[in-house]
Amino acid sequence: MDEAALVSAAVRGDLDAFNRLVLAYQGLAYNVACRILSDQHAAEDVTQTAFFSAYRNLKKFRGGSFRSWVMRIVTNACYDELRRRQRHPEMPLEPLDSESDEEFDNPTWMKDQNPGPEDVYDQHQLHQAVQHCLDDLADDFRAVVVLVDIEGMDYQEVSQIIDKPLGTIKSRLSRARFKLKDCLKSSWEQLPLGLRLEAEESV
Amino acid sequence: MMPHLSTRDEQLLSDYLDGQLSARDVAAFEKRLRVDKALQTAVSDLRRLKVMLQRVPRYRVPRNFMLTPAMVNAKARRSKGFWLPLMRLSTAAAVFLLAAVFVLEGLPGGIPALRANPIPAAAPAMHNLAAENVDQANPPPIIPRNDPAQGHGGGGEVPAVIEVQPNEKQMETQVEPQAEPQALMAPAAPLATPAPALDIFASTPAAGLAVPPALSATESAAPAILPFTVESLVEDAVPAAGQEEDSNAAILGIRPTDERHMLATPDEMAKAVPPVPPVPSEVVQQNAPEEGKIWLWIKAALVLAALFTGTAAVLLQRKAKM
Repeated sequence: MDEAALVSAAVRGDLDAFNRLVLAYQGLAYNVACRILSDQHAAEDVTQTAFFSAYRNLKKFRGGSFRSWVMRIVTNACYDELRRRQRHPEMPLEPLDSESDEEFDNPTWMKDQNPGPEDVYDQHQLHQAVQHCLDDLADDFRAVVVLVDIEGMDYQEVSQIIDKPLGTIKSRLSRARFKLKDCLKSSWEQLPLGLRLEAEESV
Repeated sequence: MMPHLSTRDEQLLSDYLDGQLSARDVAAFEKRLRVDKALQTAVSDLRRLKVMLQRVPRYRVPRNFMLTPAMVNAKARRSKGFWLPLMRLSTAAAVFLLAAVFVLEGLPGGIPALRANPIPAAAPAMHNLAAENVDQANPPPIIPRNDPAQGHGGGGEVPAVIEVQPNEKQMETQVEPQAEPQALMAPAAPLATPAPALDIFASTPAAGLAVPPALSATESAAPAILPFTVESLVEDAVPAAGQEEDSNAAILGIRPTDERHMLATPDEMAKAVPPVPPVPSEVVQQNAPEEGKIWLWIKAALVLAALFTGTAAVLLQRKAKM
């Protein structure tokens, strides 16, 4: 069954059809939420909330890209969570240690279930560096660079998700990229050599 | 240190790397790129960044986010609730009523039911008009005609002696119209001891009024005995048509009634009855502040109700979202 048929069935109240759509897009939704919120537990709640909201508002889907429609709900839910954090800042009970052994023993951020030790280390370093620089960006800039450069979406689709004009998307993306560039350049030397070489060759 | 690019150059560079420039813009940009070292460095840095971002590891989904029927029903029940719709409805009702109050208040007459009862005009004081014009010092005694102790009333003979103490002043003063007719029939003052005089009363229906020889109060303190009958009293009280010129003649010190059986003329009544004072304007205007206070209380109550229920609805909605 193609996506259009699943969407039609889901609009008519078919929960199973909707759940098949959830399976198709839950990975993308969860990753975007993790990158924007920089918190996996919060991203889990936001993703579940977003899919439930999508199911309740299926009748408002007017056609087009279902992926863009769902990602818009996810992004808005992330913004709501960020605003809630600003109103009610939370202090963690235990200090987060990015260099803790637990991160290496249980790399939940690794999609690949069978990474080598060096790969795990390299990926961990890259993940830490990128997420650190993403956290320094404003919410609007962070969402655009995550959707375009990390998730590989095109400008038009991101414009529909963020609900901003194309020119705004381009402007925010260019400013976010140069901020990230300046931030990562400071920690470029700490990145693994293999990673740096690979990046240089691609240029 | 590399010179910092302008915002426009950053935009051009970003669009160039994403293939968003037109062919003409690409040619112009590449022409600049060949000679601008800073631009070249920026282009290579940005390309490296894009590669790194594409290689950022993706998160593994911790669990399945599919919805179950129980989740859908429970969430739907929780979101509907009871208090949230009630607070919303109450807020809407309070706002609507408040708007209605403002509209009705602007009407010319307002709401008639809210108008306070007008204060009745001050009633003229009921004066004891009879007392004002009666000589309190020498009130004429009035002996009822039907008093069995005094004789028989109605027509016929009057065997009893009717004694009257003439009062020269009463012969000239006015008798108030409000003087109750019954007063004329009230028990009279104790009879004075009759002077040793002739019983000149005769049961003759034709007996008319006769002036007793000792009527003058200045000559005698003894009560005078008027030789007249009850019939004559009645005749004199209601003068015949031809006797209007004597209608004002005093009998027993009391002026006879006029044609309307009033005890005084209209002019005398007008003089006796004080004019009704006009209702002061403060009394008329007293209604307006009372009505305004009612409006104010109603509006205040509706505003408070709208604020309370609206705040409750917002808090409940936030709680439902959490």
